[in-house]
Order: sequence, then structure tokens, then C-alpha cells
Amino acid sequence: MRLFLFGILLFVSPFFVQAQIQSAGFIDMNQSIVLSPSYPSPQESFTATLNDYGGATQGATIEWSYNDGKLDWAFNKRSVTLAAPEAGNTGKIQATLTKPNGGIQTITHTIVPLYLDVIIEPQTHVPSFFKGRALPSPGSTINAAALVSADSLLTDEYLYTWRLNNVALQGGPLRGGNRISFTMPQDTYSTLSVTVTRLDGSIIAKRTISVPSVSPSLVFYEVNTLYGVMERALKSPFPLIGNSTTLRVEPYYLDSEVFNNPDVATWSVDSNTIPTGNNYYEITLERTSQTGLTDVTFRVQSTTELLQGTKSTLTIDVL
Amino acid sequence: MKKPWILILTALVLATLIGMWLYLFFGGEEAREDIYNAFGLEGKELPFNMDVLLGEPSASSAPPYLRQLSLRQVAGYVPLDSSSTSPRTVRLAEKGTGHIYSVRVDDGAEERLSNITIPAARDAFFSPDGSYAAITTSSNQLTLITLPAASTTLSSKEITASPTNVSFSSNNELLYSVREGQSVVGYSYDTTTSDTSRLFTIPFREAVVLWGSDASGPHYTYPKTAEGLEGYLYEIKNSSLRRLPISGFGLSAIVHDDTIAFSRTEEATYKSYLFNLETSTITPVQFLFIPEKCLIVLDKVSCATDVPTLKSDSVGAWYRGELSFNDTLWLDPPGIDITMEIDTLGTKTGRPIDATRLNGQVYALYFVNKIDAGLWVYDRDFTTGVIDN
Repeated sequence: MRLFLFGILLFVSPFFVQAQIQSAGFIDMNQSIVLSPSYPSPQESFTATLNDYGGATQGATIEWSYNDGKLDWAFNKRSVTLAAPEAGNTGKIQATLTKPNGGIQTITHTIVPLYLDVIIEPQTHVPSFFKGRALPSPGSTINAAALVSADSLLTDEYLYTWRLNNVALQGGPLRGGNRISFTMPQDTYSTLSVTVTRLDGSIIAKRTISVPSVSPSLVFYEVNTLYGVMERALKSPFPLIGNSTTLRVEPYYLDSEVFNNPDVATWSVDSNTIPTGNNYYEITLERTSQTGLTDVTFRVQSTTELLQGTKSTLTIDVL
Repeated sequence: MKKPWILILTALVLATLIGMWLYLFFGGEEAREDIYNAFGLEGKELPFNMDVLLGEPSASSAPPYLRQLSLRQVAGYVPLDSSSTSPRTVRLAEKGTGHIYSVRVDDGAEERLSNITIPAARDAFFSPDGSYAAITTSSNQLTLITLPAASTTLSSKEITASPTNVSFSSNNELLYSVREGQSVVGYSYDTTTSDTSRLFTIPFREAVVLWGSDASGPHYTYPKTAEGLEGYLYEIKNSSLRRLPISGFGLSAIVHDDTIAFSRTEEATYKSYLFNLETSTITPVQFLFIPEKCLIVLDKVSCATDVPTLKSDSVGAWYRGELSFNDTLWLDPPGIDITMEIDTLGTKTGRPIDATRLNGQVYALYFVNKIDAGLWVYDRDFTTGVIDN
């Protein structure tokens, strides 16, 4: 009996699936208004296009209206460019088709634009005096947060679907998952997208951004016993006037984990490697009897993530 | 040696000596110029504009309008207006020590107000009346200094570790933000009762908080500036965030009352705007600026800016200390319907000035030179007439 029922179900189920496809096709393939971008941000310019692949409206006049205001300039145009309303407000786009036989058909599309901000917080190193935000580097950890807002931030629980270079992160939609962490790919730019849906599956906002990636780089600074790190970058040749100087090197945009526990962190003076103290990133140089140019080189490197490393040399002019 | 040779040598020595005396007596002017030119500038201008540094030698005894107020490295300052009993002064905190001084604006006379040493003091923030100073250090400690007054004595108190943005309200409440978990939390500290209140939570960590003049708000926040990453501006009111229609790559901003001055990168071009909160309108500004180098007075912005150097990738290099600017003052004084490109500060002083931390009024504009942390004043009243350069 069970086998019989299973057989009937196997036979019947393709008809249901086919019916759904036909139903969707009927709505999408005949007359509809399609937006580009599909979910415009508040006050963003967007294009509404009348799709009529079936040709049912051939010969019809087209009258457009936006929020019940008639758009005379758009008479008989297939697409119109409009500005989305303010956050949380409704925008009603309407196309009225008058067919040659006098028949009238009205097609409506409603939007409620919301801000969907994607904030990228790379977990890479910048010194505490640096007032900007760190940048992603290949192989570094990136945190991203999605904030949805109308008049104020929307704190309802939504489903968030994150995609990095078109691959879903963490397997698919995440309930309340407006934060995500991922490892930065090795490309110069990566594409991160997020789709926010209500629990019933209806999309409320969608956003795609480009995330740049830069290589880590070293900048040398002088450390003053009174003032701490002097916030002006040193340039070669750096004149050594006193008997000694303390240098600090800042590996900008190096992954924070590599910064805290580097596999390789070496200083060398004229190609001679010298031991470092507790602080990998500082070195005190003392004047010898010699004068002239001296190269001070620092190298930091992860042995597991090869792009997480950098090397730079500062030439010191011992006066 | 034969006698004729001795006579010839003696004559030559005498002729040389006479020639030197004649040169010194009659060729002195040329000789002095040669000495100045020997600075290695090969005929260029003197390394310092002596008029600015020493004052106009002519009839007026007034100090030069652009002058350095203190040779100390300044962590922060507040200008205090004159009253019937006291002249114009500036209170400043010294980098490295945290010592606090009062400097008279007109003659530069200095008096030390606090000898409490705060090692590695980096930034200082003063209450509007100058009675409190909040000092942050290289090790990210926040210390409150209460300066002596009629009812209080000099004292200090550690407030918190790792503050991100610090300010004072108009009634001397200390306002500061701290990273907590994935957020930044804003607090107020009542300097009279020592009570701490939690004001708001920002749901991301890399936040710049632009504090308003009242603890209850409004305040503003945006993700820290980064070239190639988008930023968004939010208003914080009644503990909740409201998104403003301002966003863009490399966004940075300052706010005063109803006016927001902001810059961002549009298609690899750096652009600067004003936004009016009341009317929600964005207006382009005649010159480019980094908002941190600007001052909003009423609804107008005045900036120190180096327009030819300022590009979309300049801000990050400036933050890293790899780039410094040679600023010109662009002033937009209230009451005069004109934007004025006034002075290239470096030309006036003979050394580059990269002005930041602007304060005061347009006609008494104070700033810190980022290059050497010196405090300067541009002390000139434009409101009465035409500017002469």
C-alpha cells in the first residue's frame, strides 16, 4: 500500500511544480514594472521599466504616474527614471496602458525604500594614534555589520543572507545575523552582498558592495622618551644627530593575529640580523664611531598566510 | 732673504690690510646681504619672515596678527574670552607631561596652572570655561584634571581606559565613548557629583563620535574614515540612531548646531559639502577641506586647507603622518557674504603650517600646527571691512 501511494506521489508531484512555474511565468512574463536597482535606497535615483515580453500591449498608449502624480513627460515611454522617496515612505509607480480597442490595464509597483548600510570593520592593525579605519588585506579577518533603518534603526529580527563573491556565507540565511565574519580573499576587490528578508520570506532590502584589499605596509616612526611615538613618518635618509634613537615600525593593515604573534619579526642593520626585545616592533639604535649611511630593515611575516607579511628599509644618516 | 723681496712682501701685506678696511667701511651693505644669503637658499627668501616672528618694526606696537602663542608641544587647548577683570587667555596642556598653562593672547605671558604630571600625555580636551581638562595618554588612559578655582583645588582622577572620543558639554560634563564588545558606548561623567551615566550604544566598533554641546544630545557618529570603504552619518538622539542622508567613500564630517561640513570621494575625486539639518539640503563648498581642519561658526565653515595637494588618497596618508600640508586659510565669516582665500600660512611664517584643532571665532582663529604641535593664533578682525594681504 505504501509503495502504491509513493508511486502515485512520484507521478503527480511534477504537475504541481510545473503549475507553480507557469503561474510565476504568467505574472513575470506578461506585463510588469521592473526596477533597477531592484531595491533603491532612500532618495536614490532608479529606473522603472515596463516589461511586456508577451506583446499583449502592442499599440497601447502608456501613461506613467508616481505617487498619483501624472508624469506627462514620460507619455508612451517604456522606462522612466525617478527618485525614491525618503526612508520608510511609500513610492507607488503606476503605468496605465490604453489598448487600441479601448481596453485599459493598470500595472502598479510599490516601493518602501530603507537604508541598508554595510559597515566593514577589518581586523587589521593600525596604531592607536591613527584616526582612520583599518583596511582589509588578503587573508585577514573582516567583520561586517548590516544596519537597516527607516526613521531610526530597525531592530526587528530579520533574516540576513550574506554572499562573498557570490558564495553564501555560513551556509545561507541567518536569523538576526546582521553581523558576519569572513576571511578576505586574495583578489584586489571582492563583492559582498546582503539580502534582508522578513521571516515570511519577503525581501525588504538588498545591497551589494565592493570591498577593496591592500597589501600590508610598514611605516617607521621615532619614539621620544617624553612624548611617546612621534606621529610623523620617517623618510630616508633619517639623520641621527644624538647618541641614540628608538625606532618604532607600524605594520599597517597586517592581520591583527599576525601582528600579535608574528611567525617572523626581524630587524637587521646593514644585513646583520639583530635580536629584538619584548617588543617586536621597536628597536633602539646607538651611535658607533662610524658616520655615513646605514640601512635598518624590518621584516614581519606569517608562515601560513604568505600575503600576510611585508618588509621595508629605513636609511639612517649617521652625522 | 734679500731686502727688495722683504719690501715687496711688506707692501703686499699692507695693501691687503688697507683693502680689507676699505671693504668693511664702504662695502658693508653688500657684505651683510652675502651673510644672509649664505643660509644656503641661493638667493631665495629668508628662512623666516621676521615681520611675523618679531612684529612689524614700524609705528604700530601691536603684535603680528599671525603668531605662535607657545613654544610647547600642545596636546589641547581652549581659548577664553576676555572679561572686565581678565584679558584674553588660552589654557593649554603640554604633550608628554600633561602640565597645564595659561597663556595671555596679546603678549604671550605664560603661567603654569597644573604641575600634575601625566606621562605620555597625547591629547587634551578642556571644558568650555577652562576649569576641567581631560587628558588621554599613549597608553590610552583618560584622566580628568580639575583646575584650582574659588571652590575647588587642583586634583586629578582616572576616569577610564581606552576612550575613543572625548569632549565636554556646555555645563562641564565630561563626555566620552568606549568600545564594548561589538559596540561603542557613550557615557557622561558629572564633574560635580562624580556620577557616570550611560547615554547610547552604537552598533559598530569603528565609530567616530561627534559630541554635541549637551549630554542629552543630539550627537553624531560615522564609521572611521577609510579610502575605499563607505561611511554613513547617523544622528544620536534619545539614545537611538537616525540615519542622515549623508554617505560616501572616505566620509568624514564635523557638526555644529544645524550645520554639517563633510567630505567624501566621488569617482576618485575628493569633494566637500555643507549639509543643513533643518532643511536637509546639501550645498557644495567653494574649496576642498578635511573636516578635522575646519571650524563652523554659525552656519559657515572656515578651514585651513591645501587645495592643490588634497586628493582622495591624501587623508589616509595625512593620518599616517606620511603627508603634511602647507595650508592656506579659507574663511567664510558670518555677516559677510563672501568666501575668502586669505593667507598661505607657510608664506607668512617661513615654515610650513599644517593646521588642525581649529577653535575660536573666525577673526581670532586658534590652531595647532600638526608638524610641531605648536599653538598659533590668527588674530584679525575681518568683520569691519576689506582684507588687505
